[in-house]
Amino acid sequence: MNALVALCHFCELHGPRTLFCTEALHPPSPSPPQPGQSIPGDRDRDGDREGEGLTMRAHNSATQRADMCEGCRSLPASHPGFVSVDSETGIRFLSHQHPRQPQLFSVVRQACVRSLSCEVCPGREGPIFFGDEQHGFVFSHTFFIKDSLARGFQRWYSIVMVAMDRIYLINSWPFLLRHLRLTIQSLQSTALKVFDSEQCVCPQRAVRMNSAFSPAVFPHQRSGNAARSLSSLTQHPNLWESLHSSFSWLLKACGSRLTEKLLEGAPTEDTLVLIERQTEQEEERSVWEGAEGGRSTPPPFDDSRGEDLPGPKFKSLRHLRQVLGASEFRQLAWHVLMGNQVIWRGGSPVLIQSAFSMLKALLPVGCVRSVPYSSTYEEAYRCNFLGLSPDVPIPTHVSSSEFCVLVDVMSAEKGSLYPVVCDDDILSTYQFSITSASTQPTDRGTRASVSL
Amino acid sequence: MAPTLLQKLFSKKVCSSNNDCAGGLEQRWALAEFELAQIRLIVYQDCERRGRQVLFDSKAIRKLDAVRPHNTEETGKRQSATCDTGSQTGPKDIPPTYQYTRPASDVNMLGEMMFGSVAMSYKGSTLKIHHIRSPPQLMVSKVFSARVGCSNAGSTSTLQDSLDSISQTCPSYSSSIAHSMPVDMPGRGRSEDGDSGIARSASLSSLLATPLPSPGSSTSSGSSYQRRWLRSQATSLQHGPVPRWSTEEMFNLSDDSCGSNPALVRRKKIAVSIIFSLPEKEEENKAFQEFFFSHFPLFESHMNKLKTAIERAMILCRRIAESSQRVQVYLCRVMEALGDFRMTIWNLYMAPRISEPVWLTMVSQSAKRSALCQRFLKEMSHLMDHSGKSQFLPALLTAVLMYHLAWVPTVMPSNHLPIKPICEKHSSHSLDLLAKSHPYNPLWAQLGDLYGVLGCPVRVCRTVVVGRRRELVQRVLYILSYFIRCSDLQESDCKTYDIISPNPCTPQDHTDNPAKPTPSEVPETPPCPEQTSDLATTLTQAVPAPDQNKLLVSLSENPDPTSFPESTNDSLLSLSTQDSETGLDCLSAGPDPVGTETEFDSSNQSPLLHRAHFLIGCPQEQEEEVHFKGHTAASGGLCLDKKWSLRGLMDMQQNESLDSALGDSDAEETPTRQPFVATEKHYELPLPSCEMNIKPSVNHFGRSLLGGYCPQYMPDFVLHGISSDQRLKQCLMADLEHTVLHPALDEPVAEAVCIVADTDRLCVQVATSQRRVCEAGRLGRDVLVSGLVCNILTSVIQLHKLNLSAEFCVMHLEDRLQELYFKSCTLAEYLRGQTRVHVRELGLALGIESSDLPLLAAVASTHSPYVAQILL
Repeated sequence: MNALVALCHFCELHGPRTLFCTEALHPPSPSPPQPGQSIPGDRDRDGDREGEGLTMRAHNSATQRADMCEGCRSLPASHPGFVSVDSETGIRFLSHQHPRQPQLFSVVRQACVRSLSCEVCPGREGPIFFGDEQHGFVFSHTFFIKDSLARGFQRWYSIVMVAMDRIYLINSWPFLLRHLRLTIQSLQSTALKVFDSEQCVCPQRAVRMNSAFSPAVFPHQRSGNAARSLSSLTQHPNLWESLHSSFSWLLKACGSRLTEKLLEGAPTEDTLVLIERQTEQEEERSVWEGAEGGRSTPPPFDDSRGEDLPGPKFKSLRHLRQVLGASEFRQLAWHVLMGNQVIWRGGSPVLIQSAFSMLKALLPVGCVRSVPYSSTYEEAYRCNFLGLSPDVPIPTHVSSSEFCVLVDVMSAEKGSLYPVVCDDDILSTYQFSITSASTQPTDRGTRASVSL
Repeated sequence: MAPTLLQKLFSKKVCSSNNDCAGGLEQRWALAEFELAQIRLIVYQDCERRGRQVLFDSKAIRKLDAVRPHNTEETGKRQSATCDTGSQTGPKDIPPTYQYTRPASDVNMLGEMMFGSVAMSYKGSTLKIHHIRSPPQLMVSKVFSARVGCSNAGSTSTLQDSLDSISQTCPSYSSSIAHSMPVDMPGRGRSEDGDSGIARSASLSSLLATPLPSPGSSTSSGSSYQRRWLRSQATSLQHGPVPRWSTEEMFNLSDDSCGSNPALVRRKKIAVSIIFSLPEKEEENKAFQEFFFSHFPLFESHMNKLKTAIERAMILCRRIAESSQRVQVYLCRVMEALGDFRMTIWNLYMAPRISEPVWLTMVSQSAKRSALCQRFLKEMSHLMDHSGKSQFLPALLTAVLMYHLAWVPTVMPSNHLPIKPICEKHSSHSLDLLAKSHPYNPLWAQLGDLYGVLGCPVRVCRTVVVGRRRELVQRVLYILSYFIRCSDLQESDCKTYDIISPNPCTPQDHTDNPAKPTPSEVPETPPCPEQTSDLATTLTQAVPAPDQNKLLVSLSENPDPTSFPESTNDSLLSLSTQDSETGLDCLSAGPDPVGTETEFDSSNQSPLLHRAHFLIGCPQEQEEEVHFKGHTAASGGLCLDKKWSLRGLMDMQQNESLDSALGDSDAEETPTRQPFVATEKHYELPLPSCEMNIKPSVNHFGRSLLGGYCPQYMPDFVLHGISSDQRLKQCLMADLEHTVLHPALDEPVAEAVCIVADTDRLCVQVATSQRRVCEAGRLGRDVLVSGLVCNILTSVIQLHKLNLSAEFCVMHLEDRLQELYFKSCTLAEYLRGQTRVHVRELGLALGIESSDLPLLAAVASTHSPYVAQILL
């Protein structure tokens, strides 16, 4: 879930403190901000935060650590923290005493202070939700932990979950309450056992009642005791590891509690053909590799080749039409749609290839068989798009056939016939002549010509 | 007892509807009874000068009524409904007289909870929810800063004075709490923008001008995918708190504009709280809470409405000079608003629902598909026969397809090979991946789907079917429940992962308490099943490998506490697991964990077992490179191929000297290290597995907002039927305006739309928040019937009449809907790069008739937002 979980403590000496915090780091989106680069607006927000009042000021960790006792500390300062990785999604759960992301430091601090000093929970133990758009939203559960040496024999803690999505957080209330309660209960019962055993050894109530109360000594007496850490209260050697696992689990489970099932439409014929083709290729390749020890086969149709090469190219059908002229384009398109062989002959393979990739859009993928550039004529049963180098002769049975169209790409002469001036250089570089033996039926050509 | 009477009436209707309509179309939603008096309203004021005062408490108000000696709480609703209309019409409906009685004993405590013990100087509104254990109650509070007008600064104090003077038994509730200094939390500069809906959505989109993971073509269900992704980004914590909109929502105590001057804003807070008394029975209590928390956006939206009414009441009553009358007007107004609120909530919880919405049931129970298709077609041809030549169904369907746009992603072609037969659509794979890697709130997504919030500009839509003939209305509702679509939600019931209990040996070892179990007993008698786990058991829980148990035993049976030094957490446990396709964590560990390093790679043995490294004990090397590669990466397109350099197995001294990861400043980290994400030294722990037990979720909007034939018009339902449009006519415009101002979706909305289908007169109208002036007696404008929709309906019905199988007919319907989508793509492609296009030109070039244009444009705007701008 897009949230963080923190354990907070109201220290008898230092007030509300964040003890332990687990964040979820989501895998970067495909174009993540470069490392070290801050997200736009971060700086502003940090600047704003400077102005926040004394109580809420986001102390930087240095100043805070200066007045920290054992009770305010979870991991030792040198501890590197914990990490767990959800290998399925790449989400990483990190735990430290304080959040590692600076913009979250004051958010957590705020949540901690509000949960333990500002908000009022009836009975002092229990769940509350609070928050606003500026500081984030918080689900907080406060609870006591038994401590034979503490004032009132107990210490006050809270577990907070902080998120920006208030609706999500509120929707999750029953889930969070159910699971945090179990975590809290097991912390409490563990501490209670420690408490009971300590009381058996040395009943504190009797000690306190018997010891003479002296205002001068009292604070000093207590200051040593005030510093008991949660791990010593629970005698749990792996408390922080356990909390890390527990909080990470909570973040993951809360995020995947509800799953959506959204149906999609049937795939198009084109998709099916492509998938089929891909499967065939893979099978073919594995056969090849099996037979010849990993020699890679040349791919049958390499459509992407040449797209990165320099030189004039057609960028869209619109562009193609603009360059050829409306009626020529229409003629060409007619042949493409009829399934006739479309031959482009010229010196620039890049240009020809780009023309083919535009024209292919007119046909279902299954109907496209192209030989992008060849030095000999290929028969129509082999390909319906054929690119040829300039001097390749076309057999007469082909050139006289009405099932074929030939586009000759020639270098342009000065004073081109084309009056339209485009901002690209195709028109200034090339001239096109289209020849075909067929006489097309004159359909309502105006229809198409209005559009493009 | 009015409310119970009311409920009996309604539930009777509900029951009868269950009996008489064929197949039991509707069901009652709520498991338990819910009474209007279970909702209590408190308005509280916290003023720097005057302390805290209760401005309203529905529990402390008694209605004075000589004729009918009813208790206030109960008659409140009835009376308040007639309050404002009645006051103008007849002497029979004289507004009731209210009296403040003794304040309830809990108000001081409640005030503490609403405002907190430390005042906050934050100026925006704050939302709080409290759970009160006894008596069981839920309290939702919104705390606002008050905006006081310059002309009459006293405002609420005059009201308070009046309230005080009326009832001597009711002293001012000023609390005597010593206020600490307000905690200073200034708003950010951005708060000043007085933004309209559209301006907001503009700023929102600029805020989110982050590149999309896979634009347009590469993801199939583009628009819905994008919406969800944007939501996960907008609510991400990784960007820190970014107030998305309207942080400065205030409580207006002044009707003049000068109140907006920040200098005049005093430190005065007003809290509006709703308290729900929870049912005593555990089951009913749980059911209501589940409903409340899952439907919170709707509750909140109604609270906002209530707040506005209270504001108005306060402003209005200030104009009245005479004190007792002023209080009466105030109380009457607020009681009226409360009555509306109670009734709305009651309806929301209790109203009948369509028990088997066609689309959702097809999604969730594919076994029923054939029967559903048959029934659906039967109902549809019945309706076509009934409506004859009236174009009723084509018009209704045109409007529904145009505004409830969530059908579009369900016909967008998928990029994946269907595993099942083609007629069974399959669920979106890319969306699954997104939900896992960038979690968003599925409930929110579903609500948006239902309201059709997929297009551009952002429109929220719902549909009301009006008619006296119950079965006819129910038939229409049933048919529409196929076209108004949303994703289905499933709830996974995770077993709680509990790990906090410590090694049970440890505490006893420190004490010599004979009453406690001896250490040797401990492993055999764990105190409680869910508490047994320490870190070691964690592993056993996650991993059912037999080796693991061995490890556990060797750890927990160890009776010597010295082998568990304080720094156990420093003995490194490095472990990485890989979720298998089946969702099980598989992990193996060496049999001798202490003092040796074991590396066990099980991935070579079986494809289902994934690689696991398990290292425990003393350091052999300082650096251990763990490399793993996400399995999902190849299949799912998520790039996850990371290398983590783990600092292995080292003791504290080394840690201290080498690692300043938690040092005073992040900047001190050595520059050679990649910042933060790439490589950082952490102790890696396994992620506990989450055993999902998936069950169908009940409390989701797809199930709750498709209403049946309801006794009363409901402002929240995406779809419902009513017998008369009388109340609809009264409320609709205000409701639409409210939807735009306070959208339950937590997202700026440009327009709210309601489709009203009248089965008596066989006409369909569309009411919108943008067109206020309508002809007398009309709710909205008529629908231009799309020729394409007509054709679709005719051909489907024809096929059905030719006795083709129902499933085939439905498949054909889906194909035709997909065709609509393809046409919209053509339109979008044609419009790309253009600024203005004549409708005639579209007809000539693309063959798009003008009657189809609004529908196609709306569909196109879900995948190509620019279309709306060109065609509007």
